[in-house]
Amino acid sequence: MNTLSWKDVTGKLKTVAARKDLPETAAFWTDFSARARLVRQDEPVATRDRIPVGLRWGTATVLALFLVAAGLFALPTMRGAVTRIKALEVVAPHSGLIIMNDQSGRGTILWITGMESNPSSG
Amino acid sequence: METEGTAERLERARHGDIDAFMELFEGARPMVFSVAYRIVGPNDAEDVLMDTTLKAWKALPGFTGRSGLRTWLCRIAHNCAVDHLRRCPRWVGQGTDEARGGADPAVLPDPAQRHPAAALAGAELDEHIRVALESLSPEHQSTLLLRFVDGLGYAEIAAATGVSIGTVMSRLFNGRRKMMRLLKEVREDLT
Repeated sequence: MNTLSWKDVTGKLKTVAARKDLPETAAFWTDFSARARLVRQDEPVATRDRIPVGLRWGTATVLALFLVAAGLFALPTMRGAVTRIKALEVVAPHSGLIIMNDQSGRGTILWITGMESNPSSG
Repeated sequence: METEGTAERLERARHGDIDAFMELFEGARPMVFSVAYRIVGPNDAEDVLMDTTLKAWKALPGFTGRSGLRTWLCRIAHNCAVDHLRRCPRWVGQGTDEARGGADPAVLPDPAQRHPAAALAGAELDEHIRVALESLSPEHQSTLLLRFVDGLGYAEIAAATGVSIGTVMSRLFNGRRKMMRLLKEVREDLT
């Protein structure tokens, strides 16, 4: 006995579960015309989505890629932007203040001198 | 060129041109009739087809093109069919004219009473397939039939049955598997 495949079943389904024929074309549309003239169509809506769905998705994808690329390009610049200390006010008594910006190490050294030499003034 | 013609007809129909509407929808009429037929059955399918067409005519100016025209029509057909069933809930079966609810697979013809050589051949196989189909739930029946007999796409079936495309795929898979399992059981009994 041959193996029964789904293709065989669908072939048979078309016979077993065939629907009856459509209403006759001319009669249907004549009936429809008579009824449709009694029906008031809704107000036209401005077709907001004239842009095809595919084009919208395409545009969104390109925009997203552009933003990611821009972020990647901007990253090195952002890394290079080290905060610099140009001035510092020390409230405690001291004798000297040195600010050293270490460009290569991306750090800043603050050296406050003479604080320990005036213990009585605090 | 075909697309331009359709777009022009759609625009004219949206602004009240009945002839353009009829030209546009004649091609979709078999599909809408199938949807109606699978949901409300043979006796009321023509009424649902007319209801759907009239509703589509009324609502067409509001059609924005977010979904395809056929999918939009399937959704309207589904709503009309469901409304119809609420008013006259007598149709339960989906598969054939005789279907009135799920059939019991146990009523498949007794293999022992048959000649093996003739098993699953011709009308006999038709009968097995019919019974196997009717053993499925109405949802699985209509989904299978809309796909494999009426040739609708997944999105159209989803709109026609009021479920997601994922559910359509799941129903197709499970319905098909169950039918094949039932048919295979009968076939093994016969050999």
